[in-house]
Amino acid sequence: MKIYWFLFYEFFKIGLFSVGGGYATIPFLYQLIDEYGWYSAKQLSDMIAVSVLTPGPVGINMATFAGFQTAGIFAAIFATVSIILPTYFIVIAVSKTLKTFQDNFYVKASLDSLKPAGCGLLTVVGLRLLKNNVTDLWSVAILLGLFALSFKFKKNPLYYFLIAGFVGVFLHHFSLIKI
Amino acid sequence: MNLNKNLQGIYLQNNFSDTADLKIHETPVTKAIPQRYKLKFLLCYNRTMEKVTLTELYKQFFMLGVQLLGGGYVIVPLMKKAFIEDRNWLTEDELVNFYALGQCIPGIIAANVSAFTGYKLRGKRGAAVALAGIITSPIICILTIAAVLDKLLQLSFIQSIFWAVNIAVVILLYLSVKEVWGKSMKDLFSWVIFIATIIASLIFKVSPAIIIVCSLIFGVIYKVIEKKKSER
Repeated sequence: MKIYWFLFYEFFKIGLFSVGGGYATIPFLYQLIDEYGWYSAKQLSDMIAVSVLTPGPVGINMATFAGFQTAGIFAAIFATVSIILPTYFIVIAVSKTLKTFQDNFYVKASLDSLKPAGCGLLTVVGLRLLKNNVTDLWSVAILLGLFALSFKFKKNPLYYFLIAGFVGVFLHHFSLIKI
Repeated sequence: MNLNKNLQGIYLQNNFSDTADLKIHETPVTKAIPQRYKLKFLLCYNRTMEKVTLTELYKQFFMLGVQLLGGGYVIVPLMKKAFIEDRNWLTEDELVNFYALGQCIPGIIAANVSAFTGYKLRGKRGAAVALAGIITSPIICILTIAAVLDKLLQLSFIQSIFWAVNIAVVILLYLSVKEVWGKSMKDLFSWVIFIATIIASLIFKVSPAIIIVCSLIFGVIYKVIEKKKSER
């Protein structure tokens, strides 16, 4: 029972503090590794990959997955509800002041300071996963290849995942990588 | 209500060419309107009268959850198709406004936009139903995959896929930083916060929630001081 309380507390916190969409939840989920050890960094990375490749908002997918890794099906549903609960209250509060909200001085000021902080948090997780996931020559080659592609094609990360997946199968087929 | 039913029929047929043939159930209100404005008025009337049922709302947001693939911004074209073109639930301005607001408040953007839409259509209950709708498909899909993932990961070629896809995750993070970079890093102030965040998180392992709250407080105080200076 205690784990549900922790789940609620942590995921409610994520819903409340992650500003800037689904990917902003990643640093928070990474923090949970150090704090509780519900899953490993490798599992988080798998979770992100699966979340992007499955239908549904990425942030919600990740919450469901993280909850499942923690304590199974009920925990998954519980975590998902916890993460969107703040949204519900905030939206109702904001809807009443809809017209003036975006132009409010304090809203603007807080967004101006939250965006760089969000960038910084994501960069740190990126660096940590880089250290974990990119370990040999082939992975460096894939990373650089995808990086080069990002100059030509933009936005949708789905394509990068598909390309990487095919390369992985290809390398495996010719026994170029050992797993 | 009779009037409403009549018009829904007309609306579905999409046959606007010959307004003279329309058989509209006349009420004192409609009699007062000139014929040429009548159709336009009645369509608007119909639009506002149409009350979205909660079941329909749930169904639409469930479908939205199923179709949503990739980042949060994908929700805008999908909602435009489903709620503006196929149904008259939203106007374009509202959608743009909801998306902008959804980025301003904490939480997952797709969920924020859904909650705003649900609230607009059916109030508090509508917001709850919209959120319930949008989380249904992730729960089903993810639980299905999560249940078999451990088994799948025992296969070596699945492992190789995940090995490669995990490298793409690093690129994903790079892309998501790059996307907001231009909007975020405007001046020296934002660089200070960015670097302070990296130091706090990478070296001292401060929790993200604390970093967010601190930068919020620091940022607002800084902006207030800056504003007062410029006013002098």
